[in-house]
Amino acid sequence: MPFRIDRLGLTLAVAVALVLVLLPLLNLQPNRILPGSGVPLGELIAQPGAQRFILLMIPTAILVCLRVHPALKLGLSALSLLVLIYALGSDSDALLAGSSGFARLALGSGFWALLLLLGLMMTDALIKLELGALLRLLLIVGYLAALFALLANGLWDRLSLMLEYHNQPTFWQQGVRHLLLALGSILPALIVGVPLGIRCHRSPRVRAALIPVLSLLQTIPSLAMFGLLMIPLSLLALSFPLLAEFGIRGIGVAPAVLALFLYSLLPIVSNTAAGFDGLDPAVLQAARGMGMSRRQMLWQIELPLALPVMLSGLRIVVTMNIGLVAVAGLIGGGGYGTYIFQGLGQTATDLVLLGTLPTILLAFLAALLIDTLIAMTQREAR
Amino acid sequence: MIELQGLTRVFGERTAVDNLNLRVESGQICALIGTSGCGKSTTLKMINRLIEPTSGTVLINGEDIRNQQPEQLRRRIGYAIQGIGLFPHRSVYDNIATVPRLLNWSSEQVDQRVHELLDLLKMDFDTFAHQYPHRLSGGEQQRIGVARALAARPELMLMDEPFGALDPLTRERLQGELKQIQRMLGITIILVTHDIEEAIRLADQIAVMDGGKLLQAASPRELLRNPREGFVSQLVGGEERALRLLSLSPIADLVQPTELFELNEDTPSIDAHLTLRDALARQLWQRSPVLRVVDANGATCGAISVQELLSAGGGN
Repeated sequence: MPFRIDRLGLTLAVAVALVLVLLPLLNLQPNRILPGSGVPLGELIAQPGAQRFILLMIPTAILVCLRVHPALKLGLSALSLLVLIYALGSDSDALLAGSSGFARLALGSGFWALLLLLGLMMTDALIKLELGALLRLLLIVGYLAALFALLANGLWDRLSLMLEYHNQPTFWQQGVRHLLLALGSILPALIVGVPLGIRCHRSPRVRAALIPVLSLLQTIPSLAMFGLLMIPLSLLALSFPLLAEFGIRGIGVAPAVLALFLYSLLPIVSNTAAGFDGLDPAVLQAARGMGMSRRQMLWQIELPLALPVMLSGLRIVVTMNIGLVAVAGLIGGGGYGTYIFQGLGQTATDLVLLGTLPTILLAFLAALLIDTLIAMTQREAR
Repeated sequence: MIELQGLTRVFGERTAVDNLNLRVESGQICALIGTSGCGKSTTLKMINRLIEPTSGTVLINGEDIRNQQPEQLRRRIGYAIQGIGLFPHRSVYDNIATVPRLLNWSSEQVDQRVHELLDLLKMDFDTFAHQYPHRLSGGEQQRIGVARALAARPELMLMDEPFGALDPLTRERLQGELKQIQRMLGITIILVTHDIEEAIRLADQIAVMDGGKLLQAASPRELLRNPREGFVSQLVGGEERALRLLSLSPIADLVQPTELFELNEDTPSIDAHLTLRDALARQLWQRSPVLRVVDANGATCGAISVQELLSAGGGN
């Protein structure tokens, strides 16, 4: 049987080989702050975990280069990543032996590069598998749950990232707060934005006036926006102390939520308008001709048919806001941004990562969830 | 009975429909025909109040339609349009059930009605009821469009170029089915079309419009025999007129006893329920001046000659 080469796979496999040779998977740091030096490949390869990973990675890399069934590629690359994560944890005791009590093992550039490459392999295979949206969601969530189970089991407890995690008793509260900030600004934006979008669809005048204003808001950098909002909000709090009691102040949650609300309006308004613009005139004429009232048309026909386009606007907003909430950490809004700015201040890279990684993961999961919803609403209504 | 009295609609500077008077008897099909922009669709939409007239009245069975809420009125009138406008997010079943549900029928009544209508349109319930519109062919979609329009047992159905987007074969078949259903249910249909063949095939009365005015309203036969000068006679066609006229009468009208002719085994035969136009075409094709006419059982019931056709076909 002639084997055919998969070019993307070949590129990824070569990159994996180069990364393993050139970049350190782990760094040994003398303490929390000082940068360390990479653990050389020779030293790492003497460990049993790393050996298992390399043994698995070789057939994976070869198969990824060939045009074999994507399920096989997906399974192997997913397994390789699990084994890599397991190996780094299980080898850490031996690698730390003989160092001082302050010494730490940190994830090195090689690990992040491998994470990216294996992630690309899995994404490519997932796309080629053409699974149903719900099945794909379950598969990804299941895999992430397995990763979390490994970490919760204390696998990485000797690595610096998990040491930082154990130093932060409020990690999960910050996560809830992060989500509340992001979603708490989207809900009012939906309540205001959807009717505005429908107005834009019905009246070109309203659209011509509103969309440029919302676009302009979108161009204000987030830090500048927080700054701009601080002044009126603190004036409000000064003149009405009662408001300050409820948290309406120049810094903290109020300016964060207000800024995110303003950013959310454009995608929601313009996608709602676009969704309504795209409705088939024959469908609307038929609905009216059969005796549906305005309200019945809106709820039974227009909204359900415009929903997929509206949801893709929501997807933009949710991912954008989860990212922007991180910036709100700077003005005391809370959320994972808090760790990022603390970490930057202390030059503690692992603390920055403890803020960054969950932010990325939340945005990724939210986008995935909404994609699944869009696929499900579009399935029958095309 | 539907009466349009002095119906006028002005859009800005343009008079789309100009003082139109028309009367459609119950149980008949009336075709509004004209070029695009002649005001025929506007006229149709004034009957279910999708457009309000600038002046004039519409009476349905003697009652002014303005005495009813527009939504209530529309639920009583069937409505089928060229784009069909099936709801893409609803199954065939739910599409058909739209108006009955707006009228708060019980779910048993709705269920029974959907079964009846799919039966009527010769569509299998199990195959089609739970399909979504995008899975159906154009002809199937239009059938569902008609079923949906008929769902709440309207006495009047309005159709705006319902077969315009279909291929000729499917169109002809659906026209035949529509006429059959209309005769069976005894409903009144007002149909907008720009296709004179469709109007002749379906309508009991053809109303020709041009520039917002009604030029002539008459039965197809009358329209073909005595079209008004100008647009109407252009529309019904110079040379084609004779053939169209023949297409209006069944062969049975001109059948003669077989004894008048010398028929033998080689004489071609033709079904008695076909039209005179079909008979002429068969005679030309078979190069035979006489045809044997057979009934539904295949028994000879007479003969038809080209001389008879010539005497019947001409104008005045």
